[in-house]
Formats: sequence, structure tokens, C-alpha cells
Amino acid sequence: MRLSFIRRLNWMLTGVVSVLMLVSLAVQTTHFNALFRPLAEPELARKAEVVGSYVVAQLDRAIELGIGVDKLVGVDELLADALAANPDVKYLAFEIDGRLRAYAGTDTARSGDRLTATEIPPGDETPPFINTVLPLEAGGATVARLHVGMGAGYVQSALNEIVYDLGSVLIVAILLNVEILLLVVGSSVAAPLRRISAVMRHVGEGHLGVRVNMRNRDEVGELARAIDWALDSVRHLTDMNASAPAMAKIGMMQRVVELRFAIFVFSLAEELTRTFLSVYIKSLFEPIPGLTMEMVIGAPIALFMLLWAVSQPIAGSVSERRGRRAVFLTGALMSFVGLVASGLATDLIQLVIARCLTAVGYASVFISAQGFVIDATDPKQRAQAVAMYAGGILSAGVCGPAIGGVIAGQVGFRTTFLISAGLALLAAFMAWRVLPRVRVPKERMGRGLRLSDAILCLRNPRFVGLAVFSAVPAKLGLTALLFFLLPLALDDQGVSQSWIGRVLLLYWLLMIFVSPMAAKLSDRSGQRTAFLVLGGLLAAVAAYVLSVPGSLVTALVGVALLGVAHALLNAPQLAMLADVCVKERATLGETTVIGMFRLIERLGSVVAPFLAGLFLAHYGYAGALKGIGAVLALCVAAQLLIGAAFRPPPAADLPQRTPA
Amino acid sequence: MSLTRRSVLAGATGALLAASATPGLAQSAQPTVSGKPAASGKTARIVVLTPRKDVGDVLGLRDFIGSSGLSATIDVREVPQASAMPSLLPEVRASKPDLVVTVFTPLTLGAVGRYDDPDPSRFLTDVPVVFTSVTDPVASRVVRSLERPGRLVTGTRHIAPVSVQLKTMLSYRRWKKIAAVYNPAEDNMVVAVRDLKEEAARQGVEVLDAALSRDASGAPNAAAIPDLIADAARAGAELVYIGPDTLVASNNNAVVAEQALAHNLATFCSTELPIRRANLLMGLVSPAVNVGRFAGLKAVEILTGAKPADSIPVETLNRFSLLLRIGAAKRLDLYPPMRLLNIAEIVQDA
Repeated sequence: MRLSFIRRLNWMLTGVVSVLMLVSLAVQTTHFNALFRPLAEPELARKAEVVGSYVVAQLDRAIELGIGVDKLVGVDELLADALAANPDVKYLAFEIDGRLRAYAGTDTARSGDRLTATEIPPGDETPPFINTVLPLEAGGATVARLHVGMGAGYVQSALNEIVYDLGSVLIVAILLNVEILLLVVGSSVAAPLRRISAVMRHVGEGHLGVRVNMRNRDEVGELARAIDWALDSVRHLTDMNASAPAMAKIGMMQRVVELRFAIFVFSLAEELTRTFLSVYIKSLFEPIPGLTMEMVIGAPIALFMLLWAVSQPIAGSVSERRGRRAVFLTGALMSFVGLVASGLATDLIQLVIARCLTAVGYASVFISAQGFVIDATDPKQRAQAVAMYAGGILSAGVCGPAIGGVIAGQVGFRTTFLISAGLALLAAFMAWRVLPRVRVPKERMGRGLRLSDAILCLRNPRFVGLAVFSAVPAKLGLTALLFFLLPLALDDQGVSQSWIGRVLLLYWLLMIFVSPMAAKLSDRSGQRTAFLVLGGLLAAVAAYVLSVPGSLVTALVGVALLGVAHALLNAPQLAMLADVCVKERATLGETTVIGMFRLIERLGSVVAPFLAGLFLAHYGYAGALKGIGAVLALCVAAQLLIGAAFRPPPAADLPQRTPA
Repeated sequence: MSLTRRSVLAGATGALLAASATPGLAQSAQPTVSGKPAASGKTARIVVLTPRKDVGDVLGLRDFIGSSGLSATIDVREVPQASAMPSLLPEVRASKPDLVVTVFTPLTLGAVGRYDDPDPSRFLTDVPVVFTSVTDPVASRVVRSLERPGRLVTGTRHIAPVSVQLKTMLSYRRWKKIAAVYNPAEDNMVVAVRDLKEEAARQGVEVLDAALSRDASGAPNAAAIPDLIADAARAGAELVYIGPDTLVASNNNAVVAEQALAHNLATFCSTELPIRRANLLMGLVSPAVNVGRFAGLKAVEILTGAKPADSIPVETLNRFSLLLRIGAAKRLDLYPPMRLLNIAEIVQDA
């Protein structure tokens, strides 16, 4: 389904909105600087005074007891205590006659026993500290001074934090914009127009019995009614019902567009909890004898992935018998209950049960939605329709962690779960309105996955090489690195939820932008293997970069690399699958082979938390990240070996070159 | 403003040190039995056996029982020496008390004997006894266990755990060598010094054993205290420790204080009286008045029948006061660190 109209509109509106938002961002930033800073600096000085007076009161008491100001003992510890309790104070200095007698805080503010923070730096830079001086008096004379330094950069970093948040919101807003445009324009303009075109084409072929039959109460609806009226007034010879089945198909397209939005909202429910899920699990941890903490906190994620993988084919076949709508609604309600229960869980067992329920719900929703999209489209349109449906999931991947991080930072983990639950319910409501009650005619039904199919596929070594050593490690890397280890490691380093959200956002952004380019390049060059190897190695490198101790910078670089790596893998994997499984596709059909591939791929997500937990327990964060990297690299090697050992048989129609 | 007094307290010594000897029971247990008559319905008769009438324990006990609403008469008898006990007990028994209170370890042992040697002819066995300020009732064999005394004897302890005492001493300065001056004839002191040595060894601190010598008749010789302290100073000790010792801490605290100052040694005591009276540097103590009140609570529980006497546990107040005497610090030119100063009660020179 091409959406050229929407695409044009989208670019225009997104462009306008982005420019407006960037302008407002810039304006706000300068305003913050102009308005907020003059207000904030005296506030900082006041705080310095409060902290300082508390310390001075203690020193005063000692002096009143008759202890000479130069005889005071343990002032360093006193200052260190005060500093530890007030993280935004940069230093506390106790000075007698210009010499520091006790000091706590950053080394950049002093040199030896001299306080340099008060000196004006060369040039006309603003001083890096706001220094507040409190005198200590004995017998009416000032005998010593306490200096309290607040970072002048404090205001700046608070401002930066706001700007980063606004930036994340900007990206999210653009994507939301796209989603809403797709919904509104797609369902009320583009799809109806397409329906009208189809009707007119039928009329052109002589089927005068067809009608647009649209009840939209807008201009497009008016056009449709006008056409129906025109057709009504032409005397027709053909049977009214001759082209009914074709018309049912056209009506479905509108629903696919609407379903995309429901799926987007539903995915958002899951993605909101992405940044903090592993941290949340850790907070509920209670020791279980015989198991390390890391293994135990890996369990809910692993079980989630396992249940998802297992229940997906089951839910798929149930949805074929009972209808997509029923399974979608049941799944969304299960997820709703599961998310509410996750938010209310008081121990790990309750959380695991809640997560299992959610997993089955997710599997049901995604498989039935995908089934609906496939049912509702012709083979010709199918790839694009599925891509559009998957696009909703992808943009939720970008929006979710970014918004989720901000929300969790503001209202806490538990409330965020409840918000997620609300989204799942909203998605259920939308699907209830969109998905048709009718069942798909029998002959359209595909067949479910069977064990014998799996055996047939797994007999093909090249399929194994691709699925087990390229697709599985990709999922393993995503779950182990991005969903499990990184949020824990960053939280451990004291990185805020907002920043974790921003880091994860980067992965999905790169996926969105690099994937289409990689797909085009790999199609043009035909070098599938090269892309798979490059992507696999890049993912291993990403794991290594993430393990390098450092600040956010290494995390950002690592996540970006992982995003590029997986973007490189995405399209070539599917193309390669088609090449590798020619025979299987012929016997089992395209859908079954892809379904099998996806099922095996998910095993990577199942294994990931356990493997990561195991590494974490033994080697710490850096070691675990490196370990995952090593596993990824080994998989690339295995893939290459299998590729070399089982070369594709030469195509039969090529003339065999015989030695002369 | 997130710096709280609590964080200073927690950071200072790890033990919960009360900043001052505020009156009132530090324990959360408040009397649940006020205004009730004794179980027998008549005025209860309490006999208190104490070395001196003016010790804080007795004041606290009187105060608590008075305010509990229990109708009782309190008969305080001064027994300066534990050796006078055997001749006194028949008279006590004849007065038919409902409860006997004993102060400090020697009098308590003299009144109830050891749990593994209960001789009804020599000791009180049929009257409930509440003791107060007994250092280590298990080591002294007053009761079999603190949780379940197992006989009609219970009471209160007044000494901070030895690890907390040592931690407090070491947070003043990182002493290398501590001299323990004590009377080896007092069982509880032998136990206390042994525990101190064990704990100090763990912390890498040496404890110099400065036990009083005995004279020809086997009695400990208090006159040797100045020599003991001079020897300790020569041996490189930096601090003199005195425990809950009747002879050294209660009766000779002034001598210890002056001799230690003369040799430029710091001093630490684990009971309240010595540092309040003499020129000692520091003490980590349960204020005796509070210990006495706590004993009063246990007495009231027994007399009202709220709990059977043999199932009331022996307890220590879990808050201690750090007392610092700035005058001594000045004479030693050895001032307390700010963290300690912040949580200490300052004892002013008289």
C-alpha cells in the first residue's frame, strides 16, 4: 500500500512542527539563561549559607568550650560529612589567616593550602564557583573563615538537562505526529480515495453494480455518495453482487491503517517500562538459596521472552480458528491485567506471574494483529502492509523508552506500569472498534507451525547457520545488552532514568534511519553474507565498547554501534532466508518458513537474560558486557564456518565449465 | 538542607550515643501498670541494698516507682561492703519484703549467690530480686541467661558493649596502647578486661594489664594505683581505661584522674560516677538514674504480677551518653575531634 499523499503531507507537517519546536527550544533556552539564572544564583548562595551556618554552629560550640581555633581536631571529617549530605556543594574550606586548615571537596578549587576558587580566572571567564564566606568569631574578632563553594555550572547543567528532555520530547513528538497523520489521513482520506478508485475501475470494466458505500461525513464521503448516486442513476445490466468479494478487501485497507495506531499504542505500553524494568526487578529481589542475585533478576525477563516465543504460534493458530479480534482483545486485556499486577507486585514471585501474563498477552496481540494484516491484504500489497504495521512497533520503540524514562523519573516505576496498563486498555478499545467481527473465509487460512516443519527447516544447514548464528545472536545481543545489562549498569553508575531512556532511544533511531539504507545497499550489491558478518562483528564491538568504563559517552557510542549493527542485519537476513530456503519455501510456503525463522530467533531473547545474569554474577558489569560480546563474535565465526562448509549448490541452469 | 543530626550521629561511632543524659527512660518500654495496687492488694514492701544511698540507681528507682502509682514502701539500706551481707540477710528476710533490689555486682552476688550454687540458708531464694548496674550477670553467674534468668532474679546492666566502648575510645584518637587499671578481686572486672583485650586485639590495639597487686592478706592494694599508672606511662600507654570497678572506679577515681593527668595520659571510664566526680577525660555511660528507672520498671512488672519474675529478661539500655570533660582535654592539650564533640555531653569542671 503506497501512501504517497500521506508521505508528502507528513514531510511538510513534520518539517513545520520540527522547525517550530526547534525555535521554541532555542527561545526557551535563552530565556532560561536570561530569566532563570539571575534567580537561581542567589538561591544557590542562600543554600551555601544554610549549609555553612550548620558547620559554623558546630565549630562555634567548640570555640565557646575554650578550644583554640587552631587546636580544633577532626574538622576535615566534619566538612566531609557536610559535603556528603549536600551533593550540590562543591567544596567546604576552613581557613585561618589565608591558609586552609581543613578542606573537603573538589581539588580544582584549591592549590596546596591556598583556596584558588576565589581568585578571578584570567580573561573574563565567569568563575567556576560561587564562593560564600562565613566568619568564625572569638572574643569579638574574626579568627577563622568557612568557605562554601557552589558550582556555577550547576545552573548550566540543570538547564542542559531540561534542553535534553525537550530534545527527546521533540523526537517523540515528530514520531507521534507521523502516527497520527497515518491514522487520520490514512483512514479518512487515502484509504477512502483508494476505495473510490477501485470502484471506478470496476465500473470501467463494466461492473455497474458496485457502490462505494461509504458513510464518512466529510468531503471524501460526499464524493463517494455523489459517485454512488451517479451509478444509481445509470441503468445497469450487470448483477449487483458480482464484485462483492473484491469490495470487502478494499474496505479492509482502511482498517489496517487504523490498526497500526492501535499497535503503536500497545507497543508503547511495553516500551515505557523498558528503561527501568531490570532495575525494578532488582528492587524486588529477595535471595533464593542456591541462585545468585544476577540469575534471579534475569529470570523474569527470560521467562517473559520464553512465554512470548512459545505462546505466539499457539495464539496464532487460536486466532485462525476463533478470529483475530477475539484473540487480540483477550491478549490486550491480559496485558492490561499483567501490567497493573506488575506495578502492584510486592515480591519477585508476584512480578514473575504478572510478567508471564503480560507476555502471553503481548504474543496474542502481535500475532493476531499480524494475522489480520496478512488476511486483509493481497500478496502484492502484503509486504508493504506488514512493513507499515511493523513501523508502528518501531516508532513505539523510539518513543517508549524516551517518554518512559522521563515519566519514571517523575512519578516512579510503579505508576509508570499503571500508565502502561492504561495504554494497553486504550489499544484494546481501539482494536475493538477497528477489527471486524467477521471471520476470514476458510480457504484464506494459513496453516499453523508444526514440528515436522521445524525438522524440515533444521535439516538445512544453511538455514541453521542463518537462524541460529545470525538471527539468534542479534536478539540475544538486543535483550542482553540493551534490555538487561545496560539499564542495570547505568542505574548502578547513578545515571538518571531520563538519560537511560535517551540512550535506548538512540538504538531505535538508528534502526529506523539505517535499516532502509542497509536494505537498499544489500539489495543492490547482493552481498548478503558480507552484511551479516559486518553486522554481527559490529554488534560484538558494540558490546566491547559498552564494557569500557566511562561515562555516558561510551554507552552512547556502544548503543549507536549496536543500532547500526542490527540495522545492517535486518533486511539481509530476510533476503538471505529466501535464498537459503528455496526448497522449504516451495513445500511449506513463505509464511511458515518466516514464522519458523522468527520462532527460532526469539530463543535468543530467552537465553539472553540467563546468560547475561550468569556472566554478571561471575565477572561484574564490564565482564558480562565483554562476555556477551565474545559470544556474539563466536557466533559470527560459526556462521562463516557453516557458510564455507555448505556452499550453495551451483544453479542447475548455469552451464558447467568443463576443463578444456 | 539534608544534613541531619542523625547522619552525624551514625557516622561518628556507629553506636547510638545519646547526646545528653536527658531524664526519662530511653527505652521505649513505658510502664503499663501505673495506678494498680500490688498483686496482693496491699502496699508492697521493697528493700533496697546499696553501697551508698545517693547513687543514681536508687534515685531513678525511687522516682520510677513513685510515678508508677504503685503503692509501695521503699526501705533503703546502706551496705558499704559485700562482706557484711551474710549477717544482714536474716534481718532482711525477717522483714518479709515483697521484692529486694540490689545495686552493683558485689551486693547482688552477696544477696542471691550463684545460680549453680543456690543455698537457701545463705542467700535470698524465695523473694524476687531485681538488680541494677550489674556488668555481666551471666559471667558473674547471677543468672543462667539474659533472656531467661531461670530464677526469681532479673535486672538491668549499665555498661555499653565492649566493642562500642573501644570504638568510642578510638574515635577520640587512634590509640596504640591502652592500660586497663582494675581490681582483679572483682570477678566482673576480670571478665571486662578479658573482653577488652580480645576486642582490642581485633582492632590491632595493645592492652596493658595493670591489675592491682594484693597485699599479704590477699586484699587488693589501692595504694598501688599511682605506681601502676606511672609504670603504664613508662611502658608507652597513651590511655588509662577504668571499667565498672568498685575499688578503682567508684572509690579511687580522683587518684586515677590526677595521676593520669600528671603523666599526660588520657582516661576513659565506662560508668557515670567517676567522670562526673573526677577529672577524667571521657566516658561512655548509661546514666545511672536511667538504669535505676529501668530496674524500677522491672520491679513494678513483678509486683503487679504483669509478668512472672523468672521470665523477665535482663536488659541493657540501648542508648549511651558520651561524656567529655573539656578541662581534662585542655590540661592534656588533646582535644576531641569535632564529630565526637558534636554528640557529647560536656562535663564542666566544678
